[in-house]
Amino acid sequence: MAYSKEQLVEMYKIMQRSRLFDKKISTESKKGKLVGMFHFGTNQEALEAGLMPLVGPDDYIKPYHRNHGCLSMCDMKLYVAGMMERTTGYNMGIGGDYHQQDIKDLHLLPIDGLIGADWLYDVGVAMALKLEKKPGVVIGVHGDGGAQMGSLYEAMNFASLFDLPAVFVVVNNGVAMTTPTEKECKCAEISGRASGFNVKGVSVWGQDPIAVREAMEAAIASARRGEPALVEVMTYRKCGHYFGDPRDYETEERDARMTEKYPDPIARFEQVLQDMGVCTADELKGYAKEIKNEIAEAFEWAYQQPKLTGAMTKGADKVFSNTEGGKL
Amino acid sequence: MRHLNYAQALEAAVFEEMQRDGKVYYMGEDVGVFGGAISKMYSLYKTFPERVIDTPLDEKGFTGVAVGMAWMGLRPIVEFMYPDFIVLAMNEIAHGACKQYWLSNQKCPVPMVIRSCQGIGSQCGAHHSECIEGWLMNYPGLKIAVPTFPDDAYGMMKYAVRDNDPVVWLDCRTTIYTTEADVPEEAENALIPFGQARIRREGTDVTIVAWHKLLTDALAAAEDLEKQGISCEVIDPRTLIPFDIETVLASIRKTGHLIIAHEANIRGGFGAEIAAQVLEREAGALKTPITRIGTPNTFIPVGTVEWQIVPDKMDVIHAVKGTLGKELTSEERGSTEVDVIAELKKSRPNDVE
Repeated sequence: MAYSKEQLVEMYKIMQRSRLFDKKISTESKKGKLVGMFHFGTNQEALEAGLMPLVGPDDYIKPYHRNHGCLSMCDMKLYVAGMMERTTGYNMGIGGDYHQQDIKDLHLLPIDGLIGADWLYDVGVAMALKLEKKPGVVIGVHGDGGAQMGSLYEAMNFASLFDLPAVFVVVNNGVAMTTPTEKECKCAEISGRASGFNVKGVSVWGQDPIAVREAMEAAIASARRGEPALVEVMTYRKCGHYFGDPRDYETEERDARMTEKYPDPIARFEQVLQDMGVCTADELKGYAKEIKNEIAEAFEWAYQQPKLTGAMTKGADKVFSNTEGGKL
Repeated sequence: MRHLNYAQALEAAVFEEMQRDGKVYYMGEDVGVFGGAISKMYSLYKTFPERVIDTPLDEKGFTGVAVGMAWMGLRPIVEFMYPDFIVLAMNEIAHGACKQYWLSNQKCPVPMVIRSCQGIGSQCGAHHSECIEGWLMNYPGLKIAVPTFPDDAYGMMKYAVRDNDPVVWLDCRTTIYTTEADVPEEAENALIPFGQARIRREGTDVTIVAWHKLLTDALAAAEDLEKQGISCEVIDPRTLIPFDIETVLASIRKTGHLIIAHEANIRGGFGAEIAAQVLEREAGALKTPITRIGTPNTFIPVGTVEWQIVPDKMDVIHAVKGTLGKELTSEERGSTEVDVIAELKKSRPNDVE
């Protein structure tokens, strides 16, 4: 077996953390305790399980708006507080669920609210690493929707031209907001586009964290050599675009077909771990409970934190790092 | 002191900043061996080949990449051949550059300079002749520099490179080779902070705020009008964001009349912002309504006719006389004659030998 028990459990926990975090947001929202726009990644958690353990201390990652699995690199309490407009959270609470960032310390790059608009920034970060002769790769994640933006192709061109340590991850979950992928483009596999930029592109079945991990490992190793790579994770979003989305654009027929093709990665991995004799059902339940408690604690802590006010965000000194030379 | 034109002064400033700080990069299309399409800054690539980056023909691309570099603490200067092309990278400037310091809760500044050269002068028509400060001024998080004279360009570019915020730096195509000045050798003493207007000509009868082509036009008009006993105070704001309103207000308290002149389209141009700020603060000092001079809200045709679309010295003279209620001379009733071939040679000295 190529992976130790610790590694497999870590992957399992990342998936559970992602799903249970989404669930907690859903419960708290239903109680009326949480407001805002939240995007879930139900059924695509194997992506983070395969990716996050590979992100080293020198690496940078730009998740996307459906990536609560990437929480594994954050302090969950600070993340939840940031999400709830609490001043002690990341970025003083101005970022909501998806704009939280910390380039300097966490190497967590900001997610742009314009889906697919930020591929180029990730490549710029990779350019800085190369110019400064620093180690590390930059991993940028987006969906199939974000992969329709021209900036992905411009970004791949730059990355390839300047031999940059960049990995492009496309989560092809079958739907961009409400539009099925087949109505977005004629390519069954978006990864095929990469070869036009001399970037290695590969598509991987996204319900198996091990398969995802192996694809990511190869891509990251390639990027470290200055050969950028693209990994398309084929999966299916089993939830609405945002919390509260009735999802009435999805037909029963398609949902059944896609669910069969892309079954629940957590249930599947639980079965694999048990079949391989790595974990017992009770052990797995224990991990899930542990994560549930971690999340509940983070929420409880965050609710106690001071709230952000509009006045805190308004000053010229918030917008400009240097206001010398006149009123702005 | 060395006597330089604007293009030379700017090249000297960028060169010295690249020499001083290894984190300064110059990037854009054809900026390497070719020296850049705006003003052929050959010395940069010659001396710092590893920090002058030729990029693909992709404005959105190189701006986005420069934004990421700036997030990481590098100090890129990106060159847009023409400012009209900035629309292609507006997302990168607005969201990647402007918002980042605020979004990161002041943890991540974006020290980049976005340089272009605006206005008529290239005879290249509607997609190569815009003045764009009006598009950009409404966007928070951006500083806008519009120097016209070499000594200002030198000290201000040094300041722009060292500033930790995104700066849009606009040269003026019709004056980039024609304005000349003594520029200091001592770089450290030459820094010119943003937000400080410069009174280019002192006067008592009327205040004219102008930059770029219209600044040189206003100075020429002021010289002509002096002979007729009209004394114009001409103010060069040098930066539009931040804007030095105090210098303008002090001048109006003295003259009681205000003319704002720019080459950009008049509607929603920066002149409107100045007029609004003046009326909010010092409406009582004005003896007559404010006059704005700008290009009509239309486009620039290809070729020499471009000189007939944008305002010039005569428009400034008309505005001054109109404001003061003075009669135009018979000569002033005619239009300005421009030797467009001579102007073309001036704007492209490296091409037309």
